[in-house]
Amino acid sequence: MRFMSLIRINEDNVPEGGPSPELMEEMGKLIEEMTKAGVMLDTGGLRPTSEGTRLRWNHGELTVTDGPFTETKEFIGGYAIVQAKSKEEAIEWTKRFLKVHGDEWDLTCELRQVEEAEL
Amino acid sequence: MAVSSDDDARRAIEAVWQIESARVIAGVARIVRDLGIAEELAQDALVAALEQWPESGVPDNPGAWLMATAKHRAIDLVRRKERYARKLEELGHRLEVEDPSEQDFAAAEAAADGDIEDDLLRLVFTACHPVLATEARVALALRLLGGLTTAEIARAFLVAEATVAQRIVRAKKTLANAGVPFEVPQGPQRGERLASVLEVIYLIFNEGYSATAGDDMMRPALCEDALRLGRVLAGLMPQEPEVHGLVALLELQASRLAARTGPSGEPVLLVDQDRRHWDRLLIRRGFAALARADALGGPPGPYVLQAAVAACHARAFGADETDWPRIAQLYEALSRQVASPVVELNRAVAVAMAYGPDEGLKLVDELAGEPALRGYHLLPSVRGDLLERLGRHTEAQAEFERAAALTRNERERALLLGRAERAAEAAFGGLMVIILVRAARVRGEYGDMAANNKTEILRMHGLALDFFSAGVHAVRNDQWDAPTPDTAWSVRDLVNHLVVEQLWVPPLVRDGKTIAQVGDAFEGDQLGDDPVGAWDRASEEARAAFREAGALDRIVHLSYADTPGAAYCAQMTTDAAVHGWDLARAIGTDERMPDGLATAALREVKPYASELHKSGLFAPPVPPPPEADDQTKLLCLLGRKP
Repeated sequence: MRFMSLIRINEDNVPEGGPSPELMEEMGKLIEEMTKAGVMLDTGGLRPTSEGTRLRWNHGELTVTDGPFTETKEFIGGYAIVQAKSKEEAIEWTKRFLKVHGDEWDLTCELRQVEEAEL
Repeated sequence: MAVSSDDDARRAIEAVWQIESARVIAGVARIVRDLGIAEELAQDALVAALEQWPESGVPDNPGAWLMATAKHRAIDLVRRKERYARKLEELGHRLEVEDPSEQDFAAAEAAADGDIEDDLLRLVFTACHPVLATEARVALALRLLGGLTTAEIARAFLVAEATVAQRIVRAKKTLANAGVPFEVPQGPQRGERLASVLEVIYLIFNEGYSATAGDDMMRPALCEDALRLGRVLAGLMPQEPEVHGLVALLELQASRLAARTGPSGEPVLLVDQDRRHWDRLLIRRGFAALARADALGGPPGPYVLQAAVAACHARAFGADETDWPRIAQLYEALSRQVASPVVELNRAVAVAMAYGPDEGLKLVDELAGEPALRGYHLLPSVRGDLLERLGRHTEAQAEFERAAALTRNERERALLLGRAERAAEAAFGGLMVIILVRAARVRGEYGDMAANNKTEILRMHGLALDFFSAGVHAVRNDQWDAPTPDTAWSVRDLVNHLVVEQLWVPPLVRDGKTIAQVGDAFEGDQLGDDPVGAWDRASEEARAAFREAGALDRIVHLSYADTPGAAYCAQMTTDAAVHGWDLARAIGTDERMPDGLATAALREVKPYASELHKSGLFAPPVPPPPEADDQTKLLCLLGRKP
């Protein structure tokens, strides 16, 4: 089974200066480990919402809004798509991802199973 | 609730175990040099975790905890062995082997901090050692490397759990008895040993991809297990192009999983698959793995070549956009390396796609006597497909039936039988006639109408043609593509079917020809731009042929039996009557058959109606409502729902 982890961050809680080089190093190691375990299928970090654009379809009316989106403090900072034997396994890997961050971080991973054809 | 949180904790620990078990077993095996003992010690560590973690909480680094616990026990064991050996010595005994315990102990100390990736690789090569039978290698790999339980392996391979357990125990014993070292092979052995590892992973994948027996086309969990093992191996041996080739092949094949079966679980051939359902992420990963293999250089090995074929399919949005010449070329390169008739068969398919079915058929026919392909259902299946495309329907039908008898997969058997029936249908324009004749032959009798006097048979035949004719002339321009009741046919298909049936009559009845002599003359669309005219001409010819002097007394050579002309005429009457109702129902005109026709047709078909259903080509009879008239009874008997 396949899961997508949406990494959600509240912009008020991002530590000064963003991710440290140490964090990036540890993160790189974990991603390598997960890739070598055959678990990590795809992952990426997302550029700031100030560079993003929202397109909305509202009952026939199309609107396009450029970021930043001031009405929401929380944004999706990245994603990971993993293949796991069970939801518990996906949870375990997600815990490891979170623990790589130091105590100064406050972030949420929302784990969602990817719909796959019933075989 | 306490129970559920205990349960949660247990499941969380099992998830950690799923992730860590192979590494722990590998780490311990390096110390104790025995897979059986290594697995037991690792299991002991798991038991310790199950006891302690619910109380103490899961440690920060659960993998390291499990590893340390298991290794601790391993070193303990080696030390005990060593002390035991010393005791024996003190008692004046000597071990047969020169002080092995001392060596073991030293190795254990040195090994305790070894590189875990090296250990894992050792585990891979040992579990997949060629000294083991294939099924033992597969079971051991899934158990030790994939972290599957014995029960899970048993379920996946549809065998008893005890069988798998025994297989694993024996495999460990075989490894110990053969003195297989816990090492990554080097030198000339290495290539052969690696091939054995890749084979195990590929077999696991294939077992999931196309289950060799039973109802399910696939057991996708096994595909995921194999993919994972392959990716792990690629991480451990990044310099081996064939490992990346295997991973590429598996990623690309797995990308088609969702498109490989239809709504009722039937297999869908690659060329017919809806490619929008192919998994783009896996395709991208497959391409990336293939690119890694290519970047390592050297002549491509068998897995890289097969992956390159799979990549040709993945790149194309349809069968017609596929680079078939390149695929044929890749298979040629592959067959130079592995010289397998199965590869040749695949090459034949690609050649047929690239250069025409007759070119492919030449290659297939060369394989006909190949002993390795005896009993292999894909040989007749491919041959049937090529013959079908060459318009040689009768031969195609026989090949599909042969293939159906050979396959072990129920879904595939149904698919092949369906193709045989369609080939038969294409071969004999008068499908109904053939089935009726076959049924009559089985029962040793003909229908009742044929026993009537000839004037009456011809009168009914005329009424039936008129009834269908009325329908054909009433079809509106926008109705030709409308559906017909209870079949996949459109109105146009139905009319074409009847036209073809009429076209057969003159050569069979007037000229005394056999089915084979007529061959494919009436193959495909006979309606052209003027369906009504086509029907009028064909039906008038048929009508006239049956009315020639002596026609009803003549023997007609149908493929399954020689049949009196009168019986053939009676069957064609029933056929036109029932299809006339199909047509009327489809286009919304008067469904009433002319007076007396339904009664005569019912009497005709009743003696062999049950055979029709058994043939599989007719829907089962529908129970008629009480006090139904003859027309309703006739339609219900033939599976219609009036």
